[in-house]
Amino acid sequence: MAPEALVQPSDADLYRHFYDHEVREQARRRRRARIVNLLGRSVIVAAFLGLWTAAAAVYPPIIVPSPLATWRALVTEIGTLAQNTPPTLIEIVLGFLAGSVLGIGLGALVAQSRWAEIVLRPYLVVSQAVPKVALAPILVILLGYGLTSKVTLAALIAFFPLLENTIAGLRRVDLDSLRLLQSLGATRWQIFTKLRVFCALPLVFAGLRIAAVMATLGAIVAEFVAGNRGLGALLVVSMGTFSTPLLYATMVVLTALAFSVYLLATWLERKALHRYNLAAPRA
Amino acid sequence: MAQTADRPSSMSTYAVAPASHLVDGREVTPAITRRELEEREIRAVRERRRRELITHNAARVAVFIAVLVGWHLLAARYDSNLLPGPLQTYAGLVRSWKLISAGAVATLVEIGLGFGLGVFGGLVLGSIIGVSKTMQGVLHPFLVLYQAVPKTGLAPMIVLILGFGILPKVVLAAMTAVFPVLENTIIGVQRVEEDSQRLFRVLGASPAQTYFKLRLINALPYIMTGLRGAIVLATVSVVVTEFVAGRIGLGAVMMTGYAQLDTPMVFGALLALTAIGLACYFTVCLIETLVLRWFNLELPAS
Repeated sequence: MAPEALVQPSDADLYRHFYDHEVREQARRRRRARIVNLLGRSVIVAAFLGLWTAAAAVYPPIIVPSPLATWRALVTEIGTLAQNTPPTLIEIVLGFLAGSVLGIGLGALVAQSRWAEIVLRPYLVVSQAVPKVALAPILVILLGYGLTSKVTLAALIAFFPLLENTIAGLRRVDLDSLRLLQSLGATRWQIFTKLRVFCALPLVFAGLRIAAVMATLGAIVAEFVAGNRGLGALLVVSMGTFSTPLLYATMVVLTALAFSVYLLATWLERKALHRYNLAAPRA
Repeated sequence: MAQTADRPSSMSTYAVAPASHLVDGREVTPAITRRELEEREIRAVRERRRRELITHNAARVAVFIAVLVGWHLLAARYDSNLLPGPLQTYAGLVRSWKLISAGAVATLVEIGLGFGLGVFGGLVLGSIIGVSKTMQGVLHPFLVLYQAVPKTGLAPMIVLILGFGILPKVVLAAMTAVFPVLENTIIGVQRVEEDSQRLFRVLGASPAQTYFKLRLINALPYIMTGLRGAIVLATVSVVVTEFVAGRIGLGAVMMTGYAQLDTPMVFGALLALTAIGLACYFTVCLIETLVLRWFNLELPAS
């Protein structure tokens, strides 16, 4: 027998051995996961494009244009698309701002009074269940075909998630901190600005993220109903005139726009939570 | 802080209530025993609660009436074809009842089918993604993209492909309803206690047994929350698709009224739609309560 086989490895040696093994194993697992993810994602994208192409082959091009035709429409109609994007964007931004200012403001007011909150609670529940986008035709009749009706609808459906989240957030205060502040003789206003606001922030930011998505939805639906300008209007018009490649190209632009809005909102939420050192609200 | 518990807050003060004690050297028997005092306080709390319930509900009704009156007064200043009041809305509802009721039935069927399909899809997909780490890793970016895309914007496309009938509405409703169920199923299936998982492993449970007897049951509260989100989204997308492809359903009725400037009918249809939305939502809430109670699970807060 070789003499080195008789040497007992020390605990430190064993530890190092298993530690290195574990590290290598983890790295390998991560590498493999990355490859699997990349492969799987490529397969899904390829399958999506393949299905789309197959559908385009089965249906006439006036119903389903091929990805290539969509790309061509995207290039040739870039003027039309660029012209119709700013109105939608303005509606989303204005609706989001108006809805969130109103939602946070009213939420803060309602949360001041326990009584008001209890009285209004059933209405808040009901407002969740009612399809608010159905107000679109009515808002257009009342406010005309211009910007106002679209901004109003976007603001209206952005408003409710913020109202609810603000109220819930301001109520969800840490009891120990509240008792501490009370015992130190803090005024109501001090408790509000120094404690309640910070306890509410995670839910308010989550509400803002939802409101951004909702404002996008509201702007699009309002443009469906009363469209002369904007991407939603372009969708309906190109459906009506059977310029289907343009319809698909518009959908691509709209998806990009909505995704940017969503990413921006999520990013801002994360930044803001980080800035105030808060945890995201549990789902 | 408001005292919400059923016990009076001062109960602990009376931990020891002497039958009699000495005051200034004379023996005094209390006029009231500790027990009587507690009972009196409990009764007072109950009474206060009852009174609060009455005042709250009265205030709620008052808010409702105030809104109605405000609407009436506001509408009185405008032409009824621009802004009909509550009375004209009721008249419009009665006048166009045939159209509205037919539309309501169609809308209800579309919501039901779309919701059912979406929930089924969400459960299956969510379970697969929740159980398999690989699937989750692969699909994650697509899920984020799917969540962010305004799916109602797909309405014109789907109408072009599937026509103006019931099908495009069902498909779009299912496409939007799927997401909250999917998301919540993933979370619920994954958030299983480590100890229960170990127990199942030790007892030699098969993957199917672990899934159906542990993970799925554990996910139920989350799934039920997802159902609530799904029914609202299904309603919204059915209505929007009916706006775009106006032939059947309440959305189509609204668009007809809108085109003819028959605003009372639009308001009447909206009223019916609101009723449907509420009915669907509270049915789902009822299902949630029943299912969770059946499985002896806790109702989620709010």
